[in-house]
Amino acid sequence: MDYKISEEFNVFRTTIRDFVEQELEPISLQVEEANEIPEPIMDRIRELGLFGMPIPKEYGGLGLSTIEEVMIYEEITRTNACFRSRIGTSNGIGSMGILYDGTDEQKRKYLPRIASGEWTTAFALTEPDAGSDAANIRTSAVVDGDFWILNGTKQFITNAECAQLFTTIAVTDEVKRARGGVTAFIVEKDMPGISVGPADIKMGLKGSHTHEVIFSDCRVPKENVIGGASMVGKGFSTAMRVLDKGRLSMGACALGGSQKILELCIDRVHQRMDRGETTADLQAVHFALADMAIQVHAARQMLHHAAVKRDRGENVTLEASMIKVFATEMASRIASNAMDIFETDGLLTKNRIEMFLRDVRLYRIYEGTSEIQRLIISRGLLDLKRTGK
Amino acid sequence: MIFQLDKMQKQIRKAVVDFVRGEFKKDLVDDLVRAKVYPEKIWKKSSELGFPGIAFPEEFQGEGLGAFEKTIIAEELCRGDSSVGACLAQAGYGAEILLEYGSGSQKGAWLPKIAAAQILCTVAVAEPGGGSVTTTQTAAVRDGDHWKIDGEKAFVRNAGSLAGMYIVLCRTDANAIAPEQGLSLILVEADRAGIHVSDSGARLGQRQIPAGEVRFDSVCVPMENLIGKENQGIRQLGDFLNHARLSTAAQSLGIAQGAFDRAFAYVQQREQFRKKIIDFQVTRHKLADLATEIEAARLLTYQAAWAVDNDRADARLCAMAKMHAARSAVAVCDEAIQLLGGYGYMQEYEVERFFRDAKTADIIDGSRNAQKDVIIDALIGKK
Repeated sequence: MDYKISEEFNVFRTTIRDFVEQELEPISLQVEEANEIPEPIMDRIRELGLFGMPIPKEYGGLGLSTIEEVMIYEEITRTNACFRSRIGTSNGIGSMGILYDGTDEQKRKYLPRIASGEWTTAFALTEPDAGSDAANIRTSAVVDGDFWILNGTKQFITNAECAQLFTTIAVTDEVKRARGGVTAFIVEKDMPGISVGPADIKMGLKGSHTHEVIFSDCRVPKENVIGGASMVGKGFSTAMRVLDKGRLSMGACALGGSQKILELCIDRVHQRMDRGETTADLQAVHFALADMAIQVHAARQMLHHAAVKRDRGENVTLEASMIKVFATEMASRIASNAMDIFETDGLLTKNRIEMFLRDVRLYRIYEGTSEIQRLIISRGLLDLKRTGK
Repeated sequence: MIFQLDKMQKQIRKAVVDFVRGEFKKDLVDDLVRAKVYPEKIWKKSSELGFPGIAFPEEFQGEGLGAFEKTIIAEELCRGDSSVGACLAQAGYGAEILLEYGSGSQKGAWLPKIAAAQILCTVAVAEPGGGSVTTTQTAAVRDGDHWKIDGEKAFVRNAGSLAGMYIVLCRTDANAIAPEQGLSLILVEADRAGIHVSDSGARLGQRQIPAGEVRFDSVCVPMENLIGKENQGIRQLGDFLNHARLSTAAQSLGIAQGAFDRAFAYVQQREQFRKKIIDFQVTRHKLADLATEIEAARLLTYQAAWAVDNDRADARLCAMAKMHAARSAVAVCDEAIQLLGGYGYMQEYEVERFFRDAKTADIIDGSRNAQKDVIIDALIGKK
């Protein structure tokens, strides 16, 4: 399988790799401890154009292809996962609905600000009773003159506090629901009737925050239905489409973290050998490194293959699900094995490994659990939709 | 073979379950966990029921029972809460060294205090920069009628203001033919001049157990602080590690069961796709796998505990129990997080902490590769 990376992109990729190593990694512990990304770093991220990766150049973005974007995610995740969470949610699930299904007016109005990073976005789908069962959402949207009135509670929303824009999925027809009764809205933070709860205390991903978002008679102008009046009731497919694309990015994130962990383990083993331990003493660890490398190599081929295929305009729904499961489960295994290699040193946060262990754990859960991915894959294999089972 | 607890053991289990129900109130535990504070009140209350000294002879304020009862207690405490349970189960870490090799006065000085939850016990072996015990640099030199100890120990659990003393692995014979032969265990009271403790810092799990780097700066202790015979440190440590492994196995067992209990309850009440999560076949089969893992880990751990109480401590069984129970606990807790979905990643729902505590148990007291070495050496018949 043949794909070429342009020299220009190669330079960009190197710039990002250097940025991660020289500006993000040195503040890793500080970000973890403070549970906050310093604003000057956010400015650097904006400067580098990272908020606009998938947004076309005509809207101020970098217009990266899928393969280019996943390669950048492999770079950004070589450190704390919070940076990619902030960036990737904003230019991913938080805003891609506008790019895919929005009107030209909506794209012109919102995408430039999102691409520049001036605005951060969030994706408001999940609710207390609607996790994997996204179709079970209860947030309602009812017409009132020139407005839709939204009522409901969203949960675990990444970027909710720092976002200026929420892609919000609500029920507009209680009978049809997910089959023609769900609509995607562009809700701006300063529209009346939105409140954001305190940040959830999480296992990891420190520096990235999730919150409850409550819509209480929230007034949203009619022109903020993504895609306009003709898209009322068709929002569920918008939501599923943005999640679908997000799976490749998730695969890239899991891969980036895994690659970094593997490198840290290689360094560690070199140190032990420099101290006098022999290949014979460390044979089990050498084999563990080999197993890590095998999986990382496999994941990379899966990911790049699917990304290139998508860039050719082909459907990669199944591949995206597969890579999401494979890479995220791999990342958890590799982080756990790395802990075994580092032994008690691995328990200490300052040595980085346990931070990766906690950060990558969420990858198997959000943006579609591994179980949901297996449902998607098995249904695809068995062609269940076609036979109507 | 009797695969059943006897009447007294059942009573002990019930006593711990009642203790957990009464003392491990969720709000209190959440506050302690969030503040990373040692659960002192709960620890002291546990001494009223005889838990810390369960396996000490009665003459030292213990209950005169054994490793099996100690195992049940650790299991139920960790089932109640993985972090508070780990604190209590490790409060007397090292006591078996005194029990097996200590002099009458050493036992008399320290075991009652441990049983009364007045002090934490510690063992200081590992040194900064890694390496095995054979490269131990902390030295104890004869200085008149004292030992003078200089060196630094890494990641000493229970180190700090609650520790009563440090059982320190020291090089006492710099001229020993083999480096592992010149080492001794020496008891160093925590209030001796020259001891400097600095916190080891933020870590993965078991965050309420104090842990620090301990520097000994020409610390002087009387000659009689030597534990047992000189230059027997490695052998004494080896025997102690059987108990440490067994204890970690017991804690892991409890952590696994506690995570299972929480996930099991959750999937019976949480609904998605118009069904309880437990009604999905994949969920049912996952739970069956997890329950099987725990049952196997339990049997192995109980067998190791029985062996300790009935013959000599069996290094092979203790290492197998530690490795298997910890590995199972990590797997069970990891799956428990997955069963809770997004909630599984939230501190409030506890299972992520059980996972972190389980992975910590997997690493401390010798990670998997170390256990495998012990097992295979025992199988080959190496000493």
